[in-house]
Amino acid sequence: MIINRRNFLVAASAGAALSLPLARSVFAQENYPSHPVSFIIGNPPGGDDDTLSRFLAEQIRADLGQTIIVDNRGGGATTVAGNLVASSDPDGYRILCLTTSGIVQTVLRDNLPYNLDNFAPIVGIGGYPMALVVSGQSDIKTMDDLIKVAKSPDGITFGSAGAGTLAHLTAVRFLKEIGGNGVHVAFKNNPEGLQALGGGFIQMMFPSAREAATLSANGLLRVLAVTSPERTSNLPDVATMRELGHPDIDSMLWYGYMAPKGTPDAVVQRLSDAISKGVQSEAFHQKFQPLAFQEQLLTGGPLREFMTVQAQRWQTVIKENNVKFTD
Amino acid sequence: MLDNLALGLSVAFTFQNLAFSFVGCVIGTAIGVLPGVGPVATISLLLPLTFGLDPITAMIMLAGIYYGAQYGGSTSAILLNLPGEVTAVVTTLEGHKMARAGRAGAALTVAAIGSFFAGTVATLVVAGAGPLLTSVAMAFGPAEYFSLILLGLIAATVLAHGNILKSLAMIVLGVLFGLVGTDLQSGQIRFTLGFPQLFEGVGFVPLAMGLFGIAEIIRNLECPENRSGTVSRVGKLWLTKDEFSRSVPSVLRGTALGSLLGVLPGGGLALSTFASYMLERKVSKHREEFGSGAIEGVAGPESANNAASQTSFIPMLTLGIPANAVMALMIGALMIQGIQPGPRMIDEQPTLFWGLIASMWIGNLMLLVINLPLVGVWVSLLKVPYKYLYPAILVFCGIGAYSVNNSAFDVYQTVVFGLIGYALIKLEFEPAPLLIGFVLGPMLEEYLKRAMVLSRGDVSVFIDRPVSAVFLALGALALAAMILPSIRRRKEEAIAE
Repeated sequence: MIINRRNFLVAASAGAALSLPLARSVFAQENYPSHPVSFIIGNPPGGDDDTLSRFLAEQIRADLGQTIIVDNRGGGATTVAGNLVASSDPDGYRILCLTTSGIVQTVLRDNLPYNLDNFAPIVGIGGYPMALVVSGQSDIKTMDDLIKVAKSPDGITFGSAGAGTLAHLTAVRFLKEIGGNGVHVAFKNNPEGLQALGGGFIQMMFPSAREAATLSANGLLRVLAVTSPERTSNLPDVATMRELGHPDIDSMLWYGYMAPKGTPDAVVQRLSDAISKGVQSEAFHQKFQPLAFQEQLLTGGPLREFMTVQAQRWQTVIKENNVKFTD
Repeated sequence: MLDNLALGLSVAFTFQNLAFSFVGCVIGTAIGVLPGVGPVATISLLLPLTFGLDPITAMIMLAGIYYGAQYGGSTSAILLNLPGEVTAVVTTLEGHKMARAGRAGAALTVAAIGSFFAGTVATLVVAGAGPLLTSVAMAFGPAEYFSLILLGLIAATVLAHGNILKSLAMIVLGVLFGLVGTDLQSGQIRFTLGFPQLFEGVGFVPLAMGLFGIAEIIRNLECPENRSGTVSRVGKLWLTKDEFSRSVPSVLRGTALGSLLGVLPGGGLALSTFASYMLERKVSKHREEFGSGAIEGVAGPESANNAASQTSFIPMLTLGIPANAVMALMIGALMIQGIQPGPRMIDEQPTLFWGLIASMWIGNLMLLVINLPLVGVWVSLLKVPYKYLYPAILVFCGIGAYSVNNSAFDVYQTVVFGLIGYALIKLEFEPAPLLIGFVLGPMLEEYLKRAMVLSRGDVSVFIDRPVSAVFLALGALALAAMILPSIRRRKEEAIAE
């Protein structure tokens, strides 16, 4: 009850504060932030975007001198939150936590009311690498075994948490690269898919390296490769896709923070400095490095380029494989 | 095993752990009583707090929130006909009827005692039979799940008290509501009427609060005598001897069903309460009381629900696979503490593993201690006159619906479903089968598609796999048992003419 009501009041007061007409003057910029800032999360509480943002919000509060409210606006496969921030006042008080799926959505859907150009990118912080896993029960022991199965007439069965997810698109891209063919089986979420994999009902999947590490330690599945450029701390014996000759299979469950387009540069800079400092803090390292979080701070031009490359890459995969969605 | 449990109890029984278990159970009960924000959101908000705690203490508190929420949901279901969680839907059927008949105290008491007993047994099951049950769960593929859920849906017609045709219609309508949103396999968006808020489907909270809570309020306001006065007289708080002896077998059956079904991730928890209710209606000696407040219909499902929430820990403890979103968060919390959940935990972190299991039992005991004295407090809510109670419920429903996604759209959804629910009451359709169709329908479709994709379109997979074939045969029997009597009756009528 307490939580319910507090959330409601905080959200309501933040909403009221933001709807006030804000003078976008130099004076406002110099005093930024003069009231609490909201991080808008596109998923319900409990996801990685939520956990990371809540931790960062705590870290940078002292630096900014203002509370950061983490505001979960789930819905529309992160597009409800995306649209909210894209159409907000460009004053730096509503910040979107953009994910790779958020980027994929902008090229997947025809009639979204916004696109990536509607954002002023603040900072990309990096993310979690993925892992190529096969069932612990299967005969597939190496990448060569897997390629052989994928090239067989029946192909290989692979799971994901639904069409258009990064795991689905990564598998499609990987199969194209090795010249194999596969049958996609959609699950409600990764754990359900991984259980089916463990039971031998499907053959291959791309969970995050973190999930893979837990389950391979238990013998449920075998990890053949990770998608990060370097080996990860939780799976030191597993080769990277680069080592195995597939450097393009480098998908990452990535996170970045976006302001609405037109936000003053000084405000973007202020936020980018604060968030970067939070990511580089000892406390952040201590919590997220054991989970194989790959820090990759990007700002300005390189960040915009990263986002454009990601969008183009997945657009190609989507077009080539005809996974375009219509409403 | 006893040595291990003793080790676990010695770890869990410290002042600090008991205090955090208490805090967790209280928070859990509070969020459970109020529909809306569930344990997942609460735990993720409180997760940063646990970073500084001992792993075992953190787990004990988070687990307390989880059980507390499961338990608290039944309180609002019984008193106010407001199911905040899928598992509480069944509790409204008999529980709220009991409350209206002045037996709210008995319903709450039997829910608390049944849950405690079921939790105790299920804790022993987790400690003793975890690995065995895991191998059963792993053998469940898409075909088995499909057939099990189909059996559940067929049996769900038993939930309605009148016409079979009407309850079938409600199930189908529920399935249709359940299909709103993005199709997993193809990514296509269905029946969203252009609202991006419906991409992830119709929310359970708006649907359940609308169909049950809001619709009931509108109905009550129709009768002038309900505009003044209170819900019901309070009645005796404790169980009568007769009620107690009637509840015992139901609690035992519910515990057994819940312990088994809870191991199946994705649906096991919800199925366990439905299954228990159906079983009670079939075997009870007081079948005629079902629909007007049979205590078996509260005792069985409440026990099943609690047993299943304990045994749903098994896949996480033995494999590291979370059975639901709460467990996924707990795994996250453990990993931030540098602990890999799974079978190696038993050897590498025996104090944590057995402490966690012991804490399950402590959590259940704590809930009993918190909730038995509270029964009187909750029941006194019923003394609040309607003119104050109804606006308060509507406000809490509004806040609850809003807080799930911080979205006003969900509040509008609640209103719309309230009006639909009122229309259904007027037409004498019962909402419970609709909700079950809503919960199980999308699962049925998903597992069907998965099984068919994996068998490359070959339907025989459902019969070739023995477990699946058994479920289908049971479903066919249930269907025959429902239809045959009415055919026979018609024949006899024809002969009589």
